Amino acid sequence: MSTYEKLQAIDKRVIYILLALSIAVPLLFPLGLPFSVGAEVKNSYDWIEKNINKDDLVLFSYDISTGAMPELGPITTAVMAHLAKKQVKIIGIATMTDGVMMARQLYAPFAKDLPYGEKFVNLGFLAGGESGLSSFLQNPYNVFKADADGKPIESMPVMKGFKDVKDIKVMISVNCGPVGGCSIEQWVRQGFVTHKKPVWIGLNAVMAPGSMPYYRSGQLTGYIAGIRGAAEYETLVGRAGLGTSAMDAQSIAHALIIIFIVLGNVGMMAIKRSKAKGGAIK
Amino acid sequence: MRKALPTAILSFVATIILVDYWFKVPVINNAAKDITTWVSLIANVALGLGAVNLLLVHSRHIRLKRQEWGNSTVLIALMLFVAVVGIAQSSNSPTYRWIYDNINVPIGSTLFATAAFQIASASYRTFRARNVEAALLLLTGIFVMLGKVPLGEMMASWMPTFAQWILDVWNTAAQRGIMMCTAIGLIIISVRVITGMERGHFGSGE
Repeated sequence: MSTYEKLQAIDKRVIYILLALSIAVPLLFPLGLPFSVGAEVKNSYDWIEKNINKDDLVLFSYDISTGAMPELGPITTAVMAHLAKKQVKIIGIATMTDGVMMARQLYAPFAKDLPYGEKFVNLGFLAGGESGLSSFLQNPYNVFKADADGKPIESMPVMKGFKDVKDIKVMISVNCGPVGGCSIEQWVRQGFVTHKKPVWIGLNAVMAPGSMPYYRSGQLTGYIAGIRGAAEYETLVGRAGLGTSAMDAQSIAHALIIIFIVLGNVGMMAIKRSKAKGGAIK
Repeated sequence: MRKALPTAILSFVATIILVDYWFKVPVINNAAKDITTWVSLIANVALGLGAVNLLLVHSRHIRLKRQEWGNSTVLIALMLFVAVVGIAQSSNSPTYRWIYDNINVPIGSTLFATAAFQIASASYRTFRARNVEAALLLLTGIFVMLGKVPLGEMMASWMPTFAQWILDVWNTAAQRGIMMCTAIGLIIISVRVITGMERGHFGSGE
């Protein structure tokens, strides 16, 4: 096998090992590469800063699967830190089954700032996808009589002043897609189109290109995509977390993948040129 | 009859939901509210049915000693164990939360993370500039990948803006086209389902 042919056939185990190292080493020994805050994240942060006040009702949907936790967990934590600072009331739901437990895990660090029952409630799993969401927004007490632990919700201070969707100031969904839960499109349809409420989302980076048109058209008020979005939001909130620490790892991993792609292409082009000249491949 | 009755119910319910969206007719609006509540209830029942179905299917695998019946045994044992802990101590109990936070979440995250390795290997093997279109795709991919990480920003300050421009303009334009086509297709399929012309969702009836 010639050198150029070898460049096109690097063993995938080599790629796997180098990729694992490129992620693990910067996580263990951070480089602290600087990064700027993009317009989307800045605008999303500013919208909450300007429009959400103390004791406003925020519907927070933890549409997070266990698999999406490393990416969506940091987004949720950063946004919840912002909301905790603003001392809002959060009504937590989950349109996917995993989300109930994710909500518990992600709420734990804020239990002091947002006392349970007073400033936060985890209503649990909202079944039925888009129809379930539609039903909940019209008459929440028809769908939930108790929170995720079976405690009656009507007497909770956090539920005071919450009759239906009209009382909600913003709907936030940290969303990993339509796999068992409500998708971004469904949130836009039910929240923005039907009830004319601001919909603010955090999502996996892989979903970002597909959801971009909703943000550009103004149907989404907030838009935080991927671990980079989380890192930028952490910067604005002033609470460096997993998002920020993952930036170096993501940089090196992206660079490594690009190097491999370039090597493969160099090999292919050299062989092509050599064949065109009618020479032997070295 | 096995298909006519469900089709009639579906058409009736769909008409109520459609009328509810466009018109203010109190009787219809209230009926639509009830129907959407039923969907939540039915979905909850369906979840339970799913669990029962899973148990039945895997019990059968074990009974007939089908291929990989050992996996079915592990699945049923763990499913029952977690269900018993959840029912006996509530899903907010320390034991249940420990199982979830220390077993379920790391396993789910690990499985999801393996995609990074597959994508890295697949990109290396398939991203080849064989023609102009492929070269353009390759360059776009590289710019977006670099523009979205701090390293790209260090290499050139214009990189993030350029990557964002690709996403905002070119990507959004293409996505809008796809979305509009999908929406039109969805309307057509919905009309066919409501009018009973489309019956594929009923299955073959076997």
